[in-house]
Amino acid sequence: MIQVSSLGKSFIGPDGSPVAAVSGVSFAARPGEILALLGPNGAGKTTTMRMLATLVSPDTGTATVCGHDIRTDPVGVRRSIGYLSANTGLYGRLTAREMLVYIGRLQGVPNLKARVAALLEQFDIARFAEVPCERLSTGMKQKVNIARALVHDPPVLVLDEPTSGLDVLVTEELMRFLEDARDHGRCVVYSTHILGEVERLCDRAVIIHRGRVLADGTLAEVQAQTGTSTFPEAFLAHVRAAS
Amino acid sequence: MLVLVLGQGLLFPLVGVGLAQVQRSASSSADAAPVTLAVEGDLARLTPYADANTVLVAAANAPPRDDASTATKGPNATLVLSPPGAPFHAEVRYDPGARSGMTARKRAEALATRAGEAERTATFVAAGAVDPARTVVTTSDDTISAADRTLRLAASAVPALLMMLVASGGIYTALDVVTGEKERRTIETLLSTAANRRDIAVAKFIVVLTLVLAAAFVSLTSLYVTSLTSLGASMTGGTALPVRAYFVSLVLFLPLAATLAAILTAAAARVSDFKSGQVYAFPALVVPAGLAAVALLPDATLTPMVALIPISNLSVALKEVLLGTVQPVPLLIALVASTVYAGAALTATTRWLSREEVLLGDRGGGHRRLRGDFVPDALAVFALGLATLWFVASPAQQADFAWGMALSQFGLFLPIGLLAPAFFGLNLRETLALHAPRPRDLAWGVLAGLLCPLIGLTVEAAQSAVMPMSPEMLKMLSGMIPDLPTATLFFLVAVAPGLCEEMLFRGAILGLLRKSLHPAFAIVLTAVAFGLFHLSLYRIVPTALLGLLFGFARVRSGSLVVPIVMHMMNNGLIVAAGVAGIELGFRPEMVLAIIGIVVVLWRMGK
Repeated sequence: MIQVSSLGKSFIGPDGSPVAAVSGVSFAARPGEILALLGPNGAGKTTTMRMLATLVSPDTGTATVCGHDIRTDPVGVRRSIGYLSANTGLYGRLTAREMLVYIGRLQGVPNLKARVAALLEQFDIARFAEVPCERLSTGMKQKVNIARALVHDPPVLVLDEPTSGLDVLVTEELMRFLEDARDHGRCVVYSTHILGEVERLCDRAVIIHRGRVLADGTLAEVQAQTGTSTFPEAFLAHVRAAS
Repeated sequence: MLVLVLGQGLLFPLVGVGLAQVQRSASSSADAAPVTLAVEGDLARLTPYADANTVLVAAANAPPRDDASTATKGPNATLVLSPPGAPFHAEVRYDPGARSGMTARKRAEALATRAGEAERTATFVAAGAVDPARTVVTTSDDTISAADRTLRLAASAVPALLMMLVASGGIYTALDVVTGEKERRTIETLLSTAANRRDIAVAKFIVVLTLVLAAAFVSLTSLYVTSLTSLGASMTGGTALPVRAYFVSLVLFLPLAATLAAILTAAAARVSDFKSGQVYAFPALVVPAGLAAVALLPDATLTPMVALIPISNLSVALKEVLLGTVQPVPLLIALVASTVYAGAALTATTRWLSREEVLLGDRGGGHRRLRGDFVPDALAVFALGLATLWFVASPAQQADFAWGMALSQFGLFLPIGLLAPAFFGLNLRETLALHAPRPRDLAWGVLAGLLCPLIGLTVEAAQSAVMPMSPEMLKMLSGMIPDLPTATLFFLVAVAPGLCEEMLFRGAILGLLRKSLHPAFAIVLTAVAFGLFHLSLYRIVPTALLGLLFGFARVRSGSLVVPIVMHMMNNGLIVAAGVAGIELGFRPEMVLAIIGIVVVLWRMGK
């Protein structure tokens, strides 16, 4: 469902010379699978996910999402992806409902009214659906944002640290939703710093460090490569070995 | 911030320089302009004192003058003489709104004074006594009616005023809908939808355009309605604006609004937050306002050439529509040209807006210092250099050339250039390119330095074909080399500017700009700044071109030493020619130097 091959992206660094944020990253994710994208800060996770969401274009390599190439068919990719990150903010002056309707129109969702009503119900947003987003709490905002990413019912979800800043209750709701999404055949790429979430949710993990893939496999495989007894220890061992 | 503060100090000096240049060129052309003076009274008393360019006609025979136009069909001013026998007294009536009127007034005053002085002397000689009465020449500006004058004043001021009102309405909309998406972190939400990026850019433009058009519509309607009331009568001299003028103005504002909206949208996309938006808002407003202000010039008429200048054309057209003097052909040219400009601006804006680094701003890579960040810093260094030149260096050089020159070069320009990188937290050697050049590049630099004066002469020759220098200006320039010992002269005019000005321009300013801009763009900007730095309309183009060569040499060779050598040689050769008494003139063969310099600079750094 997602096929990433040798993606590379550089940015202009502080001294004017290019700095490689991602170089030669490849991995794949199947339907009904939650793939963890792990790595320390600045590893290139966010850049990789932004390339998948066609927000930035890769310098080298490419990727396909549901058969759409991110280089040649970015609109097709965006139709099949729900993207959520710390930078996908909500329009403060719109209410939760207006927000969903606005994004739904841009995504060309049929029967939008019914779809929005269903999402409001599913994420328990209905009781604050008429409140401007700027007045919502962090947890409420994140619920609206997840509903926003799902408004066009995408088969693929790309979630960049969706649980950061959330309390235990909202996190639990999100976990349940993701398990449900996986069971309904969605493909989820998920980045987080909380390895407990990974052990609970994810089938496979890709560890990225300094723009390169260190490990790619099921959690058991990734752990076995290092000979450590827990997954968090395995993650640390991989990153330390590469540093 | 520094730019905003220092920019204020530069406004009046720059306006002063501009006005002085305009006045100089105007007065030199005014001396030669033919003038017709109507005389009420005894024409024969003035005839012997009139010069070749002044035609005197009896007021009774003069054709009537078309008040509203600035055409010189009728007499340009009227002279009313006291009756023969009475003490000499002349009154000059002229139109202060037209340049021809101002020229005629000066000519009439001089003429009447000459005639009066002669009569007084004659009376004095005949009476053998002292005549205590001085010649009296009074002036009044009543050849056009007060109503016409007010209308003309209003029509001249309205276009620029409208432009400012409309643009300032648009700029905050543009900042809100474009920059605001970045600042409020909704741009990624928007871009991750299936909407096409070009469509998003066009939609943003349409929002800004709608606001600009609405502002224009309200402004023009208010102007029209006000002109119908008694309140507006004082503004338009009692005549209500014709409804046709109102509708033509609205049509004129369509392409103008589209151009403005495209510029403002692009400017807003350029910045990553409101704070830096405020820095760019001022220049984004000043450029269109400056172009629109052309309508304020009394002589600005919509000729086919003026009709091709963006923004100025519509501003002048609007003025003529309000005055009722507009000609259909230039108006049509102005409309077509403006529509083309608006289309080009829109295409460029949408194409540019859909680039990821523009849309996503500096969060693209998570690095703080990205493209664009050093441009305000470089501008601040230039502003500081220009301010010290204007307020300290120029007065000092006028007071004492040698000491003033030494002070400005070594006390101002060199330290500013050297301290700028440290001030912005940058590496000194790397920013100023203080590296030893490769011997081969140095040799190319010496060769280029030999060719530079020839390039300068060629450009000046080409320029004088378009913009001839007035004789006084030429005299001033040729008398510029002061009387000093030859060694001192070389040091002050060749060595010092070569070192110090290069440190400031090719060192600090180009070094800063290069960090943020494409090298070619950085070289051009530095060259323009270098041209402006010489505070003379006639020297902008030649010095900017030399600046282009110096900048290119610095970037190609990777060393500041090469442009320093070129600059020293250029100035040194000119001084040497002056000292040796060689007349520097343009010869057609000098054009070959252009080929030479292209080859030299091409080989440099390879």
